[in-house]
Amino acid sequence: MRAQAGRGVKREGAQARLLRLGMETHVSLPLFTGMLVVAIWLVTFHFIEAERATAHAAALDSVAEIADTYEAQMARNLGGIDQTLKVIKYAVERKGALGALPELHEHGLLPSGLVFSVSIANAQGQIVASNPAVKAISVASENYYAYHRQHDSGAAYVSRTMRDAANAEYHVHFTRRLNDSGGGFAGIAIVEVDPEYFTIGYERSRQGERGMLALYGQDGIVRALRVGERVSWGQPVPQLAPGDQPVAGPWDAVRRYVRVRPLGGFGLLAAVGVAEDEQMAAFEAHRMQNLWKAGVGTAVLVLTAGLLWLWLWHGAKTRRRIRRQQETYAAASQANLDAFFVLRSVRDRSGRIVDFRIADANPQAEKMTGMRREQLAARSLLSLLPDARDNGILAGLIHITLAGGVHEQEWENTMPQLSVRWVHQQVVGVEDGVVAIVRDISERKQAEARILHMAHHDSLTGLPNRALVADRLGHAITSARRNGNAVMVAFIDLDSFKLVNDGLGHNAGDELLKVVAARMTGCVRANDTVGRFGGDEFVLVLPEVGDSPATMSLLMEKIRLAVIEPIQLAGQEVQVSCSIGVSVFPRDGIDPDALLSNADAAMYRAKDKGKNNYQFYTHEMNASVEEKLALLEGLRNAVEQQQFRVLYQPKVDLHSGAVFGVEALVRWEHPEHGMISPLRFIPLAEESGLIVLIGEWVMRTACRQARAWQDAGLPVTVSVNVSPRQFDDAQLVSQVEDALLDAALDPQYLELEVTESLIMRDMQQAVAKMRVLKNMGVSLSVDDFGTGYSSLSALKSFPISRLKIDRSFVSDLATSADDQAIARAIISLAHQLHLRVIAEGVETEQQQGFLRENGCDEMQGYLFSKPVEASHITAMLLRQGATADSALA
Amino acid sequence: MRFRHLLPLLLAVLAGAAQAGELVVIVSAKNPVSALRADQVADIFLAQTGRFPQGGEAVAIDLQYGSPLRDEFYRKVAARTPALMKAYWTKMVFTGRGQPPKELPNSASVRRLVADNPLLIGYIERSALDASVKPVLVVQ
Repeated sequence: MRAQAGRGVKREGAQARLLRLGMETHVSLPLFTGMLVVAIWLVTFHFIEAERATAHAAALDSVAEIADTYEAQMARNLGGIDQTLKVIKYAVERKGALGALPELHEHGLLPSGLVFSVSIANAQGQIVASNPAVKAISVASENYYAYHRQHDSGAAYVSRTMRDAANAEYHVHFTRRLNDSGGGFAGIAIVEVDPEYFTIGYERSRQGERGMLALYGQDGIVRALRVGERVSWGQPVPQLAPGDQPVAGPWDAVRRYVRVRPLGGFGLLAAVGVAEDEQMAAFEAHRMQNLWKAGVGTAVLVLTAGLLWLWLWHGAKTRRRIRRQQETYAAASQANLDAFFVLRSVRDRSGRIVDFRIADANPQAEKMTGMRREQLAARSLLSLLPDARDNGILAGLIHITLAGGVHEQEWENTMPQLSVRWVHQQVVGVEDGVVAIVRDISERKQAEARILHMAHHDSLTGLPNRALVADRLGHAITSARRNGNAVMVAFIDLDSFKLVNDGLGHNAGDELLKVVAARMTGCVRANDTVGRFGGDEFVLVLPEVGDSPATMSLLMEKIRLAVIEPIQLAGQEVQVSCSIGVSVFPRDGIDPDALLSNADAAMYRAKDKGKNNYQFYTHEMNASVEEKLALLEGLRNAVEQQQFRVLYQPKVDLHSGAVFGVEALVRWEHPEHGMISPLRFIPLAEESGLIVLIGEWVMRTACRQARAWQDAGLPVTVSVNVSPRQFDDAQLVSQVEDALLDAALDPQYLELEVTESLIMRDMQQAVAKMRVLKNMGVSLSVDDFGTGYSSLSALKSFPISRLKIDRSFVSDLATSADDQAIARAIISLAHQLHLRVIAEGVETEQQQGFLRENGCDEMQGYLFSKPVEASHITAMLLRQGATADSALA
Repeated sequence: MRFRHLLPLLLAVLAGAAQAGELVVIVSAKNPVSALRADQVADIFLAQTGRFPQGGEAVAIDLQYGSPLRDEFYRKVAARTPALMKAYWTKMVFTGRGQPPKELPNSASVRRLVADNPLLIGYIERSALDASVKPVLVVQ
């Protein structure tokens, strides 16, 4: 059931499709043409058949008419001939054979000698008279003689076409018997006729070139036959079957319409024929003509229809293409996120474009203008956007209309009729108008602005960043150079920001920065710039500032005071100060880099001066920077030229007072500047990475020295400091191994000192590395203990054997209860963890006394000895050995 | 019009014996016809018409079949050879449209016959011409 229904639907679909195809002109036209062609040919063949029938009938009529005529002529002629024979017979029987002919001639009863030969034969067959006169021959041997001799029927006799001795020409002999008075055979009357005579009636106009006239006897032998111009005789005639259909003649292959008529008297028959092809020639010609007409008609029709079809088909194709294009355009424009306006130019009388008509618009355009498409179509550009006349839009569109091409631009819309702010427009010149594709790019513009802002501003404080500050400074300088003004640049660095950040957390640090930024911004004018360079560095650019130092000082003081105001952070009151460095264009530099760099230098001077102050740049400040560079250069040379020396500071057991180890300390003996403090060059070396090379050298030197002491019978442990950079170096472990191997030193005589903060940066990795070293047999100690933030639990896991109390706790040990408490706590803690404790920087007896009383194990410091040459240590150890020996002794 | 036809005749008459062997077409002296054109003569002899142009009945008299004079006459007047003449008459007889003219053996017998009967028209040797007949055309 369902399947049937399905088939039904399908069939109906096919029918509908056929119907639709039929409706298409380019399909129906060929069908119609085909039917027309068929009709033409049907009609043509119908006419041809009708004409054939007509021609056939006409041929039959014609042959019948000719036959009638011929029959009549023959009947009359044969009658005349028989009449002549009878007249001769009469005259002969009356006058005798010799007198008969002249008698008849006299009376004009003889036929014309021109056509008929008349003669009389006697009973013996001898010709006795003739007209015209011929030789007197005997006809006794002729058939007719025998016939007449034997028969006295009173009938005429007709011979075959023959000739005799008297006449060389063939003739048909008509004869009658002459009787004597007794009724006996007396001779023969003869009339000879040329066979041509009987066919002379042939009319070419009626019977054509291949018509036929025939006279033949009942004996079936032809007496005279004419086909066209040719006359013959004597041939036998097969049964002629006269009918309505043409038959092929018995004498040739020509098909003829034939009629046969029997003639009375002599037992002859007359046959008439007309050639079918001749009779039908006109018809055939007409048939060909009709076929040609139909053919030409068909060709013309087909050609015309073909051209028409091509034209229609082309038209249909063009329409389809246009329709598709329109649909495509409609689909594209409907769905497009851009607004489409199709504008057609409106011209004034002089042909100038004065306005545009809105020919089409898509939904986005409706949205953009707030109008429906129909409303838009009723408007002109100027009536929709009056401002277009003056803001260049109309002029632009006119230009594009005239010039063509594709034009793109972005502009900020200020016309209230359009609901967008920023637009990107693409205008394409088309024939007599333009297509404007307008895109709302407000969002993109906003994003761009945001990105631009982000690129130029610090995300935390919203202040301009380094790039924008540099830009503004550049502008300020350009402007100042033009106006002869000054530009002030201030570098502001918060003094103890790191403490806040580390102590209260990053969020508190960020909050602090925001507050400080806001305060600084509050201190300056609108066209001044407060920027942040990152971290706790701020920069002020103050264009058009008076050149008076007093004004500048006032402003700097205002900022310093604003920053130092207490801030509530994470429930605590925090106070940060700042150090400010100032440089002024054009006095301190004429380009942004120089000004910023000089302000930076001035800021460092302020730091050096104890922070919480401001400094104006002076030329000397740059000297320190230059000095630093010179120092770095010197440091490189120092590594190459072995300008370092190692000094050793003894470590003393607080209980025994004996030197049990030394700390190796590097010194730089500059060939020109003399001894340079480690405080000056170590940070530089650390910063530049040279520390790795220096540290390795120190370690090798110290190891060799330790081996030397050992060899001298003075075994002491040598401590070597490992800087963070050195510690991070992947080669550290192998360097230590190499140094030990090189010096052939037992690892137990080497101690490495690392700082607490170094371990805390990445505790796990640091502890792992320390374990490796520890496993080698090298001992480890924590330097500067107390300054970092290591937790006690972490401390427990350190593979160390010694803690060193930082000198900062030691220095005030005599007076500060806090420091005493800290020292006591550290000592106690170390002992709890089974670590030895050493105090560094011990300079006084009081300090030594406190440490000893509180159980500190070891100490080092100026109280006992400053760092000294290795040889001094050797002497010291020898002395100690001697003392010990003497004590023992 | 008349003079134009008469003139050759007069010239011929004046030429006399110098023109021996020439044929003349004759009618009876009693016949009102004075001159005929060759084609008018031919029409009568070929049985195309049975009347003189003036309206009188005309009967042609011929010379015997095979006579050289006869052949010449038809060659000149009707532009037909003897064979064509025979075919012509065969057809005329067969179709019943006419009979050849009565034949006479020589010019003298023709002249004699024509002289007596104004209906007749014949042709003779010029030399056989006399006052009993009237030449209406000199055949040249």
